[in-house]
Amino acid sequence: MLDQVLPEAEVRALETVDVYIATIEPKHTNQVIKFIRGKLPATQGLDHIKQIRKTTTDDGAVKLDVVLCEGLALSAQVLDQLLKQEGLESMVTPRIHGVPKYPPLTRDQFEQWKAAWPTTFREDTNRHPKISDKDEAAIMGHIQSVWGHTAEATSKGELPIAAMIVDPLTQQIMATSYDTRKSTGYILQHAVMNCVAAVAKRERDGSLSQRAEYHHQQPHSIGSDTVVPISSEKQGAEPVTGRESTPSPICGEKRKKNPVSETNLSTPSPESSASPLLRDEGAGDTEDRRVKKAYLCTGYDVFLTHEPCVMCSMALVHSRVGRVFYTVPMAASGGLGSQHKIHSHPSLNHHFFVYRQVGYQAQQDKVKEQCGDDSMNENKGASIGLLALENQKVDC
Amino acid sequence: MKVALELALEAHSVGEVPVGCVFVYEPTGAIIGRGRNKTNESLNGTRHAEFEGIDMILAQEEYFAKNKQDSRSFWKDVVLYVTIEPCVMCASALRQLGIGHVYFGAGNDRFGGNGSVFNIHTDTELPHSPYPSEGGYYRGEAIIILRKFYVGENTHAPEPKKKKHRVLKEELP
Repeated sequence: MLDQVLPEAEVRALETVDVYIATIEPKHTNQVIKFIRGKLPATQGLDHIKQIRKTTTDDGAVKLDVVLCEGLALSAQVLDQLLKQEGLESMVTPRIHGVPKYPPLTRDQFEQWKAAWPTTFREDTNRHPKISDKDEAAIMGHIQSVWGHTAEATSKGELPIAAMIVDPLTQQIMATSYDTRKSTGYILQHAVMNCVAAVAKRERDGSLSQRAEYHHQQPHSIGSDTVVPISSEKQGAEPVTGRESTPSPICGEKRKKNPVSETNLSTPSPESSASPLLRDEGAGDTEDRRVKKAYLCTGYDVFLTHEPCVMCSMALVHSRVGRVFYTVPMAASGGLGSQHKIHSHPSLNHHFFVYRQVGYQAQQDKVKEQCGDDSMNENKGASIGLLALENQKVDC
Repeated sequence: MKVALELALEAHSVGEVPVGCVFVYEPTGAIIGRGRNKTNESLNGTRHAEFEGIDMILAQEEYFAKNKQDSRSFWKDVVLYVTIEPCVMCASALRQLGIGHVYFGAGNDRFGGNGSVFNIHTDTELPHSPYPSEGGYYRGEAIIILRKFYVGENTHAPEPKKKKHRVLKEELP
């Protein structure tokens, strides 16, 4: 079970807004409801609030609590006056009560908040896509593989931070990279930035024949295009090689809109291009799949050894990635859960799913294996892999 | 700031989001870096004007040496003038470098990192020191250039939106 980093709105505690409620006799319900609908200002943004809740008095009598209107909408005097005009003052004694301000987005919130006041709740499965066993196995494989690149980084005197970008539809690795801030003296050459640049370079190279006008040159010797050690590996499938050929963007757009079905598509083989999902996208066969053009990193999966810093997190937003999996949370600097939740901020124009501590146990076990069980408290453990950066104030 | 605006216009003329910037080295007053957006040309969504400018600075041996010797004391003498508020990514990049000061034209309420959406420049929790940042310089000009761009269509986007009915508004909020 992967640990999804939920948007702030899904983990926030109960916040309430004051409304007038009154405890009434069940037999007066129709009369009171008619009064509310006819005479009181309608509530704004509280559609998730149930109008009535059942309540039982100390002596066991069943009564109803009814929401009248928002506390800010009317003064108590005006409300009393309106009740008197309708002759309801003996049946309805208003009091202020706090009800949930926001609709619950998760079952946990729903369960916790209903004590304040009952709300409606419809679970939105798009928010928490199910990851099949097969998909999870592929994810764990990729995370293990991204950690494999840290050894090379360390051997070159770099920080052991690596990144890998994968097309989930084909399981093709689009690029891998590691942090090169030490060797280049360019402190912004983080693994994510290098990896995004590598995918872009791949796209440019792949479409050079069609785009002869492109003449972008990195203007300096330390550019990511020249020095950064990146392997744009090809795994298995060939269907993507022609994806740059025609500017037909349907695929990218669909994947963005439809992350769930993408997740459920757990066939990491070329045959997946003939799956029903792709037919839904208007592509009935592999030929159509081939003519689709990638737009930045739209819909790709990103595998990271460490939680990215704010810069890299936002770079992933700009790149329109679909999902991010990382192993080590960076408490002081992380932009995808620790310090900020840049992947799900309401004002940003693109959101993606984030899973943390993916493969964490495996890395911890590896450290223990290398240093003995007491390594956690010893200095020698701190220089290895996972522990090298955890708890440090480093931007990854 | 005027040079930055010219760079923004240049970006607009080649179909890029029209943002331009210059970096000034305070001890000499010289412009040591210029940049304009290059995300479409590079097929890389992170190639914002600021990154182009930073790369230009580090491509010059003199400044690359200063950066390599003591990165933070070099960058604290560098001031950025940019037509639109740096986005969250650039705001964080500038903080990690240790930029001396940022002046920008118009705020960016969609992904501004220097006050509009996030406060990356003043955040006390994040690593590295906060930096001063002020907006509002040639704001009107920056906005008009941006609007000129957005009444057009982004042909690089998947399924470009048709914007037949958009007209350029001249009045400013």
